[in-house]
Amino acid sequence: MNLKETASYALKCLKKELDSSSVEVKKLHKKEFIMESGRLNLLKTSSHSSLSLTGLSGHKKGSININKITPEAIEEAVSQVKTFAASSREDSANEIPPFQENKEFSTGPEDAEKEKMYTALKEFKESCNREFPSVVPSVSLTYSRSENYYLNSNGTSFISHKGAYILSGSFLATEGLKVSSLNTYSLHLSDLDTPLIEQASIRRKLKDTVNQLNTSPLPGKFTGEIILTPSAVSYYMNLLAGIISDSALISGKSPLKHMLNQRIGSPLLTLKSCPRSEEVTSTYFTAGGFEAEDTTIIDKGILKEFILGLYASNKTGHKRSLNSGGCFVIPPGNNNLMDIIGTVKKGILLDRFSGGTPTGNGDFSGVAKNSYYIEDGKIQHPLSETMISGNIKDILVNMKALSKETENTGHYSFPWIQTSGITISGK
Amino acid sequence: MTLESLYKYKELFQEYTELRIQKTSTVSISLLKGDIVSNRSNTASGACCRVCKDGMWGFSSTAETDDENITRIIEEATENALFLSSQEKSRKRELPGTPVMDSRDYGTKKTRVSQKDKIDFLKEIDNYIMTNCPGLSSRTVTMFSIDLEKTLLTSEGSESYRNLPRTNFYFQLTMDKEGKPVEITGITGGRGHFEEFESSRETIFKSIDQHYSMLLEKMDAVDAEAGIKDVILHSDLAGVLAHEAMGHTTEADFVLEGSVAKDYLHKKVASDLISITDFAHTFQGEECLIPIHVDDEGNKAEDVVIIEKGILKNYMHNKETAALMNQKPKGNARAFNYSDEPLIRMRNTAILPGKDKLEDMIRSIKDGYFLVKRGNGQADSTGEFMFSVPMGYEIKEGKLGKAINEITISGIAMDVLKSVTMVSDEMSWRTAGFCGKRQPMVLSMGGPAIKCKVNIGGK
Repeated sequence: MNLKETASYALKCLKKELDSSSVEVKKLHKKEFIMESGRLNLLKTSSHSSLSLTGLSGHKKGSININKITPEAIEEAVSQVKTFAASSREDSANEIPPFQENKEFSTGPEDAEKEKMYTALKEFKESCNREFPSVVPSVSLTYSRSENYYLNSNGTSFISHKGAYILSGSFLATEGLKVSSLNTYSLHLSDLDTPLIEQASIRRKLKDTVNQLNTSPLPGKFTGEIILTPSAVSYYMNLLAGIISDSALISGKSPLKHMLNQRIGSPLLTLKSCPRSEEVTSTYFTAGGFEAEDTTIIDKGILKEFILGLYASNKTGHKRSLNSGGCFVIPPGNNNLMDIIGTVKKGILLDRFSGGTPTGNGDFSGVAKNSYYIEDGKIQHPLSETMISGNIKDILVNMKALSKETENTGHYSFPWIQTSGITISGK
Repeated sequence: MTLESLYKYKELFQEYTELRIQKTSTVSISLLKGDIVSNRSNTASGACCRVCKDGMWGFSSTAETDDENITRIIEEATENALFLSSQEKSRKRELPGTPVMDSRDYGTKKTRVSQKDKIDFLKEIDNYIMTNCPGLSSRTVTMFSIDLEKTLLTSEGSESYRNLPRTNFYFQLTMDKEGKPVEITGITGGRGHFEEFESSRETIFKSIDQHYSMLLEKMDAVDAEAGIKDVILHSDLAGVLAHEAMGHTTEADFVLEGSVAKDYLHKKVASDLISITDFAHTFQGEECLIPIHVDDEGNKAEDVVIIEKGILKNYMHNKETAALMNQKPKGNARAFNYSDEPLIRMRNTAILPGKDKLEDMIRSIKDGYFLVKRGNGQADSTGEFMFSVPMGYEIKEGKLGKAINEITISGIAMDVLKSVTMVSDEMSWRTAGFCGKRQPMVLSMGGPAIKCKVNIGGK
């Protein structure tokens, strides 16, 4: 059976046993080169299938994921879904999405040549060695090709074919006894035409890694200004997403639960989720079985949407969001980054936040990594042993400038953002 | 698949080769305010092959474990290794290791229960919370279990089978304080299938009572003062310190990358009171929570003494780093899924107990904190670490004071370990959640309570 036939067979089996159901079959092919501590020494290839089955008996729900797609494996999994659903409790919020127009989507390269990947990585290693000799790069360059088939008992059928390269890993610099902080990155690339070192944030991160060899702690404690790099913006936008998503809203813990259509951020802030945009990686349908659409979550500071799936929507009474979140884009501002830095009396440029899981209230506290101290409009020195704490709501409300410059990693596209109200404490 | 059924593939091994068959199964059930929000299982099984040719590695994996696919992945992994070795300037290097044979099954011998029984069990816990914890605004009860079943055959002659299940129960209690959530999470469970914990209701109920009391104290919590402070880290946190602060920096792959530990072998990195060991499978005559007798490269697992009385003694290795650094691999190479290659991972890492009594340790602090519960943590190549502390108390003039709001603590591992002046004589172990390093991994952490200085983040 091909994948489409597999999905149809699984749905047919589910329909016999359950009141409503959905199936997603995925086939994933991967080629992966791994360079560990500057040594390119592993080539991985794999080909995998997975099958996700969800079934409802009345409003009782059960779900099974397996990675075998033989008829016998499917029949056994369907029987298990039936048992799981029967064991569950009635919950009227459980539903299978209604019929939607059947669609097929396709994006990205259809195959990858290992010689081309190897050459790209080798050139990257040589460029690193030449321009940043103190840096030890750990890099993984992966080509992945996935085929997904989603079918449900209400007649919906989605098919997607996606190919992409992922460049990810970490940089670290050493010089004598000095060691830099780890600097991590992940880029989603549609081709390998541009040298890897020129992609998105890579050169900036390499430069920063070298700078981080000579850090010093910050004396004392103050409440200052903070400029978030696009990497740091990503952390805070994901934190925000967590407190306006399913679990936070169902449990009632979200500090923004009553803020729909109200101001939660600076008028400078517009946050979009763009799974269908060419700008960032594409996701054609949600894990819950809806066609994904681009949406605006925050419009000029006003919260326009929660990020809710069908169950959470039914549970909370709020509108289901048009996608599952992620693929975030913040349009750029009007200021040059250097001009923004020039306005900071006392603060930090934050690239990475190493912190605990934020509280349900949006409070965060942790260590500023790969970051710099700014005083009188100038970057003074890279930081060590500096902690920051605050609340996501303050970060959003206090935004006062967005840079013209943006970084697009393929996962997100963000500018640098200046905000304030964060407690910064040194040794 | 049995080990014997793999023997026929040995003749296809041209270079150093590992052939592993693995099944990873998880079950997740979660109740949020009594509603079942997760009722699912996930099973990923398949075969993988890893080949080494002159220091270059090839890897291939497949979900299908029939003859044709296993033959294919052996050929593909060999081809991948040959491709890299033909491109890169590599030289022949013998991989250290002696063949070992072992078979361990930690699966339950009891009759397996149904999904319904598990849901009913969680419902019982949820009912207990509803009845005994008045004033909650939200509650979550979760069971998450994982089974890792592996069969390994290597060209150097190692053969092993291991079935290692783990089951954890999580409960989160939330109250509202002026419209803001205040919460606490409790975790129980450990090695073994669900059936091993079915009779542990009373233990879970007792833990719920304790956590509910802590939550009530947390409702009146005060902010901790930011800055460097004297603290007692409860044994639960000391284990994370061992894991995050020193453990990761002494993984040899990280050392080769340039971690801070690279220049400190056989040098003083901690107080004389501190000894840290990564135990393979046994601690003080008892089997560890994540016992590893043979790793996923077929190395015999032995304890690795990381720090002995303050001196950094050893790094943790896989075959490759052991070859590069002229050491012996001691069973730290582990892979999470069948589609993953083995990486250097900790197993059961602990600070060893000392001679002090916890009450004397608290009495010795004039102005500081007793930090009793841990959240997540992270470590850096520089030795700087952080972890969140969701529950703690003030210590004033040697006595416990008010509860404090959630904080994050940080420090430079060696500085913090050098600041240790007291180590308690009791220790505890925990296995829950996953350690992340390109792949997730199950492991355990342990330790006594320690008195040290850390940086407390706060407003």
